[in-house]
Amino acid sequence: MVKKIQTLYIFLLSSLVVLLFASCRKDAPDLKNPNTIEPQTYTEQFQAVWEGMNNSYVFWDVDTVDWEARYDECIHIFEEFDARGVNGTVTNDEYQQAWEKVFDRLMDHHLTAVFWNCRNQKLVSVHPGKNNYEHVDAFNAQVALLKACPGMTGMVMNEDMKEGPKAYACLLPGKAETGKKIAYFRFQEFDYDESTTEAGLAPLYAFFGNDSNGITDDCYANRDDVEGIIIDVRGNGGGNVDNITTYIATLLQENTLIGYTRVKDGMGRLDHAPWMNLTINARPRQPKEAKPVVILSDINSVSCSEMTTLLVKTMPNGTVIGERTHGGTGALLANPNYHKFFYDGAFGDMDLFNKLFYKKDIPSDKNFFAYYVYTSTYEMADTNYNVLEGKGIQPDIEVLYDGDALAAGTDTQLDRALEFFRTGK
Amino acid sequence: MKKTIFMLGLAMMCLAAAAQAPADTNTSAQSNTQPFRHFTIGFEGGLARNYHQIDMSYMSDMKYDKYVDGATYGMRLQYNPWQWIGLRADAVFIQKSYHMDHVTYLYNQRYATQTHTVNNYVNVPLVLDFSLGGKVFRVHAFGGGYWGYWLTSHRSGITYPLWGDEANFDEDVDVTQSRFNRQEWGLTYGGGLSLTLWNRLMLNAEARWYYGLTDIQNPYMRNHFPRYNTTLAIQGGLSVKL
Repeated sequence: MVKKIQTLYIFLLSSLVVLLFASCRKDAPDLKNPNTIEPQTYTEQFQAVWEGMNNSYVFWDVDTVDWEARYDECIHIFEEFDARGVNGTVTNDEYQQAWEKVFDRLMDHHLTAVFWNCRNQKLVSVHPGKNNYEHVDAFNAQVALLKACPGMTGMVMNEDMKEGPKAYACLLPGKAETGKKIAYFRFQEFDYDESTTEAGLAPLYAFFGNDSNGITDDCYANRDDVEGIIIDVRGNGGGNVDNITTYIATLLQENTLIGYTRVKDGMGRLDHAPWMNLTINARPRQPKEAKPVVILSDINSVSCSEMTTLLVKTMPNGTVIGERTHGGTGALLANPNYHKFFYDGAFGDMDLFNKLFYKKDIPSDKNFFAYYVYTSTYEMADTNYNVLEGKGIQPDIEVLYDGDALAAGTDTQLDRALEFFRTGK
Repeated sequence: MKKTIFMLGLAMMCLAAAAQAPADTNTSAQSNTQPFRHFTIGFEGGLARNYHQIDMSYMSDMKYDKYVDGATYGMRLQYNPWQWIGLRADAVFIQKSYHMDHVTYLYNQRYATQTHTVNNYVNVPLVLDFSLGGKVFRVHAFGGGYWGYWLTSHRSGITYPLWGDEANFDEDVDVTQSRFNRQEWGLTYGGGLSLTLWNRLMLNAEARWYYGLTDIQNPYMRNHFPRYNTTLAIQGGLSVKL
């Protein structure tokens, strides 16, 4: 009997020890949704943005910025702003510089953040990747240059579009001995959707063998008098990724894996969902033969135009000529309401989002330190799982921008593409 | 569930107390002819039901609230200086799996992703085993600590790729990444029954909790969200008294 009591006593004692240890688990931090915070001070605004980036930024696995050190370096700046008091002045320059320091050297080349200073009712914005842009307006005179090209025939298709020169196509001279042509198509940007007029889309569809009702055989890649295709995305800042499947995919003979994308799936910086195939499917009627396709890209080719560049680079009959691309490869959902889709990417205030994208006025009664951060939803890698963000895509044949030659009427990169068709190298 | 286990334990205690008197008689009768055997070695296996615990803060629609069943099996070794108390060590393979569901609505569209993760561990619990009962039938209660090592991980599920509708994935996860904490320490406790046959073979059934005290990820970031495993193993086994 004594033994039984002894056993029971020891067991109860052990249970007590177990219960004591059970409280040893650490608690999770108490975070708020970065879409719903209404900061009342500069410091709260900084903390909300820092935490939002801490949990939502998709590139923490490859970005080399020490985000914790960044907090320690910057928090005192915003505390000092607050210390000036409600009636103290923080100039726009000071506010701008403070935020530029916060976001300095982050590798997301889409990243743009806007901040509302409710004390003086002014906005500032930062874009860490902006220094990677060069000669961004160099190709605005492209149409004029091409019209002067000897032997050029074909159509100018942008003229019926509502908003300026977005697309242009023509036939350029190919090999002299064959007398065939090179079909040239320039995408100024990728934003062709329902809002673009049918009149403007008709030649675009015709060029790539689509029409609004389906697929036609009239793809330029299938014309007997065309021996190659040039896609020009220099200076193309990107846009709607569906444009790739609508247009560029018509040049594919088979489904083509160009890389992988992934999103976040948790609070941790490194909580990522799996890499998913980024495959561009060929259209139901593929080109009859694999004619050479060249894409002209440069440092100002961003986002969707970089995906297009990667597609052409991956095609067995594709060649990239020009410069390294910009390095803004992560696709994104800009509307902060989509933040909860994966709990990554863009977050913040809808009014600031509307201001940035739709030029809407910020409500005059916005009496808190609002913010909006436009950052990638998807991390993208090539087929070797190399993340290309901040690095861009290297051309197969590098031809650097030559501003002097361009000003004199010679497009050296386009000339190199035509030489490639003539010589095969 | 905890209440059920508690009631089960209580019932076993009562049963053992009822069985004590005749068993003790047998024990004293046999003690002259059968030596007390100090060592027990055997195999065990059963079900491992894991509860993955993480506070998701404002991501409240990303849920980890389902338990996931897996397998556990291994071997046990016990030394009893006296019949009523023993020191027991096990080495078991155990699956500590979890499931995440994320259902959200955006502009009247329903989107659902899910991830089913199977984590394979080896656990080495060391417990003090207290028992009541007779030579044949005994009730056990035990408690102690365990060390676990995360062997492999595999996940499958549904997500949304950049293009197209939802897509399936199925892949191994590299657990050697520095963010993962492969070593797990925790408490283990439970209870069970044993039935000794021919004074040599012992059949046993038990339920035990593994209560992880270490985060399965290293705290690699500020505002880190810890994750813990709590696993219920319901298992049976066969041992030999040496």
